[in-house]
Amino acid sequence: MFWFKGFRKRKKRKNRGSDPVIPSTGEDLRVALHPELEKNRRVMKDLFERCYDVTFRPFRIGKEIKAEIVYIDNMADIEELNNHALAPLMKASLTRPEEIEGFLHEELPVVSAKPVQTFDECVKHVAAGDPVLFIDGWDRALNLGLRKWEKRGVSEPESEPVIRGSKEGFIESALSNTSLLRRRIQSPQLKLEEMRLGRYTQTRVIVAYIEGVVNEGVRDEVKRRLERIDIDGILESGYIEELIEDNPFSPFPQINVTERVDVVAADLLSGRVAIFTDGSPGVMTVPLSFPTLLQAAEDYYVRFTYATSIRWLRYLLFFFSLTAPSFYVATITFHPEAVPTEQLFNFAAAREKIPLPTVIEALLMEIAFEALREAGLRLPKIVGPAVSIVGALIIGEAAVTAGLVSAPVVIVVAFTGIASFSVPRYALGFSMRVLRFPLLILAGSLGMVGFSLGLIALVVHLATLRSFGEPYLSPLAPFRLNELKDALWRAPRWKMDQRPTLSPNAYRQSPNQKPRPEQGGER
Amino acid sequence: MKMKGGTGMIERGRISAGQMALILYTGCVGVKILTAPHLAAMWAGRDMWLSPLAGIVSGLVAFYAAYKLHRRFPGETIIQYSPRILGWFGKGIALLYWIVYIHACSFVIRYYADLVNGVFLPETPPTVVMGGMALVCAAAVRGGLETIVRSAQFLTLPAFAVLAILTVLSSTEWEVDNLFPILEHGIGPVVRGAVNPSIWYSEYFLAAFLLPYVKEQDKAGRWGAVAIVGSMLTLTVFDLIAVFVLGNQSATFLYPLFETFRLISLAGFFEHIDAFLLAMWLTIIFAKICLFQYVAVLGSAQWLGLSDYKPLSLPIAFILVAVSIWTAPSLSFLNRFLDGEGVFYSHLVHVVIPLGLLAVAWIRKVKGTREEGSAS
Amino acid sequence: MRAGHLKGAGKRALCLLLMVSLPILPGCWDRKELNEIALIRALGIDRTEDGDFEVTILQAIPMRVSEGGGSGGGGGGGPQQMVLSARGVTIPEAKSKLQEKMGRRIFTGHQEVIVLGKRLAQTGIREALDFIARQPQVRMDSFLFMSEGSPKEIFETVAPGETTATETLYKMVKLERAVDMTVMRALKEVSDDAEAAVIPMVMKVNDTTLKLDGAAVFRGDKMVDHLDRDAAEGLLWIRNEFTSRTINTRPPGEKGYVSLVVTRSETELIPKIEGKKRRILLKVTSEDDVHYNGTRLSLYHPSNVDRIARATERTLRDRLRRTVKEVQKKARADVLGFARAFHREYPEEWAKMKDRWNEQVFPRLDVDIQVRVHIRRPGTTDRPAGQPEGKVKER
Repeated sequence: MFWFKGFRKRKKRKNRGSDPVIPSTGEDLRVALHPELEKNRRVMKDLFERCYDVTFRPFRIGKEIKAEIVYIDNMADIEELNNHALAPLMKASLTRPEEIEGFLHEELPVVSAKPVQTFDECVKHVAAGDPVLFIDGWDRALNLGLRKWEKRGVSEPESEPVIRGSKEGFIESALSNTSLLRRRIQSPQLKLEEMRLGRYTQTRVIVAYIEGVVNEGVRDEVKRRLERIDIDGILESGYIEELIEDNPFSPFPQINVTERVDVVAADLLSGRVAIFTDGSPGVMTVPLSFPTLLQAAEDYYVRFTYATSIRWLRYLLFFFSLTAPSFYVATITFHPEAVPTEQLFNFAAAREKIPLPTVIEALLMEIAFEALREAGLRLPKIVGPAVSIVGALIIGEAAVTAGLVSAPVVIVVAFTGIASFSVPRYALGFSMRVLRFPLLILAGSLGMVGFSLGLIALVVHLATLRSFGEPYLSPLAPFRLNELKDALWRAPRWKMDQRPTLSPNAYRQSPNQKPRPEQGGER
Repeated sequence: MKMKGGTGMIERGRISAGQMALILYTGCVGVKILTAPHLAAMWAGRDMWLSPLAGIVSGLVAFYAAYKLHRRFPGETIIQYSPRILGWFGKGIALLYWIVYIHACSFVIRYYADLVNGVFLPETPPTVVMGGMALVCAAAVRGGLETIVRSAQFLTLPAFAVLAILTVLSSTEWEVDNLFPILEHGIGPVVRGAVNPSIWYSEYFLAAFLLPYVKEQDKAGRWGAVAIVGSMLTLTVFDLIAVFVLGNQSATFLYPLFETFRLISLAGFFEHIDAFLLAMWLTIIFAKICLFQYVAVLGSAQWLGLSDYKPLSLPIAFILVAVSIWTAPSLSFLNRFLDGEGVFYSHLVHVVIPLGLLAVAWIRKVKGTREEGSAS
Repeated sequence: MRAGHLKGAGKRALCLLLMVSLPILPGCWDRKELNEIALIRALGIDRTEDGDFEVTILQAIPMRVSEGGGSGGGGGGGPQQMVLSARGVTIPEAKSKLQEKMGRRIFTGHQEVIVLGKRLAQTGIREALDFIARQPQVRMDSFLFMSEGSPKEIFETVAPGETTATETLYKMVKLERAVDMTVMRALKEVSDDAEAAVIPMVMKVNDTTLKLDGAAVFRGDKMVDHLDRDAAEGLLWIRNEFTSRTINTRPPGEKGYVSLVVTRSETELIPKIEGKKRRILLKVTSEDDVHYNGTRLSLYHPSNVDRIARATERTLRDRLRRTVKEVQKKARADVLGFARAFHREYPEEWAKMKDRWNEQVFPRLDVDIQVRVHIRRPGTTDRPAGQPEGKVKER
């Protein structure tokens, strides 16, 4: 429906390898501060343009001198700031700017208070959470070490656990979530734009992106789609997801939802856009491509050889989780000649007294398995495991003994279940669970032909899908060679020097960073 | 995106030159890898592996004609520029092309259905087998050219990779001696054996429908040539394997590829994989049918001057199923046609007429209008 | 836009309906449940006295196969198979008569062994091969055997420990004791330059034992000769179908035998046409290990090893000579691959003689046999084990 001009226009990357230009975050900021507060304020405002959480608090020192504190909500310790900076300053009886320096040294009860001279330092401190004080007539600013980083309530995201890597997960408050993100990306280029959605709920929705890295087409489209929403209330990010996705009928998720801070940060660094919803720990990032769904955060933190092989295992298991039952049914009931003879005889012996057709058998077991899984999920945490274990053991064993299903089907279904747990993104697991059934029916009615046609239809659907203008199957189809290093395998960090084609800012890092021991370093 | 009435670009998708090459390649080898070298071996015996080499000429000429016409009329397909060159007569020729592609597509569908019904699902009604495929293809065509090439890319690349692996695995069954003596009966039988492959090669003219939508115009010609040479190499390799494995029985079997790969045994466990091979081949034939169906759908929309071709995909799928049932009384007829008269038919359409059009356009100095071409 | 959505939803609903109804519709046309098919492991084809075809099938019964394995061989043993036969004017007719005797549909996808009766072989096996090649399911790599009597009696001979007769036959070929003649190979050979094929013979020794019994030689599609065990082994040498086997030889002047195990062997056929004379050189090079030394020769000395090698060459040459003679003179069917060799080297002359190859040219061909034996290793000892020091013959 939407067609962005120049959206997928490829950047010319002729100078690859030689000396790529890596733009710094914004213009060169090593500029000295101006004595006039108004000018400093304007620069800071410009720098933190479209950052809803950066607060400018103007006041007067001793009712005379104009001053302004710049800080980020939820990252600065407001209480401390009020009691130990604002209050003494307001009460101070100063008239001339020259006295300030002395006052600050002698009477301001803040432990860490350092004067800074340039804008880049100011920005650095503000972005890190420290309030910075600007005073009219003084060509410096004061950095107050009053950052207070949110720690409570932040716990490991349960749906995306990792062994290595941060255990930090988003919580329900958008404010703390954005501060978690700011702590990861301490740059004024990280823009956080606020929006209120829901007539009654007035839910705070924040669009986050990195200026200069983000694909502006995508960003504008996200904003446009969000603005279009007119609803009484938004209680979860899922509401928004369903209102802004490209193809509402597709069984596949077109928006990535994660609770992990590092995943969102990595997505933003690749030129994507994140959407925070107040009241939901799930942060959405767009656009999403299909291979991403099979990549876990941890892939990027462990050794690349291992990550690559694990990835391949995951691809394989993903394929199994979708196709194993239907493949089994198609082979056994339509092409028994393809099963090794001895194996077939075992299968045949197991099936000898089963009255149900193999398809129905498999369908039955699949439904039973899904029921177990659902029950295990909904039950109180303590009972859950008991149900699944008891269910799996008893039902499987009893069904075989009772001659309702044959043992191979139980194995296939169980294996499918295990394989489906290896899909790192839960949303994709849903699609697989839904799609398994039509595929099973097709395989049961047309054998390998039905199976194959089903898979082809699935691929056709995937090829039609777009997520915010980005082809869903990229970089596999359309084939993007330089992005394959993050899809077919996980290239080592020093090789991943380019961002996805999506981002207008091609280079992520300087090339030739492959570590090598120094000459004579063999000691 | 601005819409320009009947003659404008009704295909909004853009493909890369490599994607065009891939789908044309798949279109060329799709059926042939399955049946190679059945028809050629009948004539050329153990030299049939040379016949793809002989047949390549028609591929090159057909693609050249398509490419030259495209350069003359950028942004247009043959349905559009043929009336421009010859007026009402050209409109007739355009209609002929539409009919030809419906016919050609029905042939491919029929081939596919005959394989499935003949070897794997003898009792399933052919309509179901054909209909299933036609429906899936209709869905792809509805999604547009980009969907077709992307799904083809996603599906056929792994399929070809697996075929390559199977080829290597079949090496335990190779008897290279079967190859000798080479050219015992001279070049004549080889050329006669090239009749069938040349029909598939001539289908490179389908590029006339894809070239207008290629993003990198400067690379299109080169990629087309790569595809033609690639398909020649592929067919030669499959022919060679058939000679190596089946020897003098290459001509006996209708589907030598299946017979060959059925003989592969890996560790005594991995045997008789023809059903899986079928699943793999279906993805390839899907790409081929899709290409033809797309051309038929796009052609009809352009001929009728419609502003969108997508609504036509389903009706044309139904027409195709019906036509493929009528198109040939038996597989023998189909094979005979593709080994005999078919060569005149396909070369008339894919080589003679395009070259004629090119000549007339050159003499009458007809050229496409630039601004429409610049949409790419 | 709204209308479009509705239409999409309607179509999707229709699709879903179609999909769900697929298995309920008369569908599942070709579905075959495992408990509704009869798994045929072996097929026997023979002719009756009155010229009808007699088709025998060996159906394995999966229930018993699995139980036999499960109960650790304690459960009775006994054949877990069923052998049925029927007659008909054509093979399919006989097969459909067989089907009438069974509740389950005959499924031939796992038919690994095909046994042809001698009477059929003598009248021609072309029809049988055509029947096998034309069916899509049948394995083209199933092994062919010939039996002197009816295939039925072969099928009914089940070795203890095996569940069906098929297993014995199948494993026999896998051990490479005989020409592994698959259907595909037979098709190739019958229609190749020489128009001659060879199929291993199998015979019943007693109720539980089967034995390979040389090979049947076919000219065209008709059996013309039966090679005995030795001649058939010579055939394997000439056809370059290497199998690990042993050769016994007695070095001149010694009392005992020496056995060699062939580890590698290579046969080359070098045809030559000089004027009217056509000859072929059969060059065998083999590498062997000593397997058994019944003489008093010490293998410490290369000269002794040489003596054994020369003796072996002689033995081998004699054996090959016998085979060639039998095939040339008695069978008059070129199952040795000479025709291919001539065709490859002399395509033009070949065109002239191919029509009378088996009848005139092949039987009169001069065959030179050149054997080279290299003994590479003496086994794990170089002296005759168990011989007192003094009795070992050093030289």
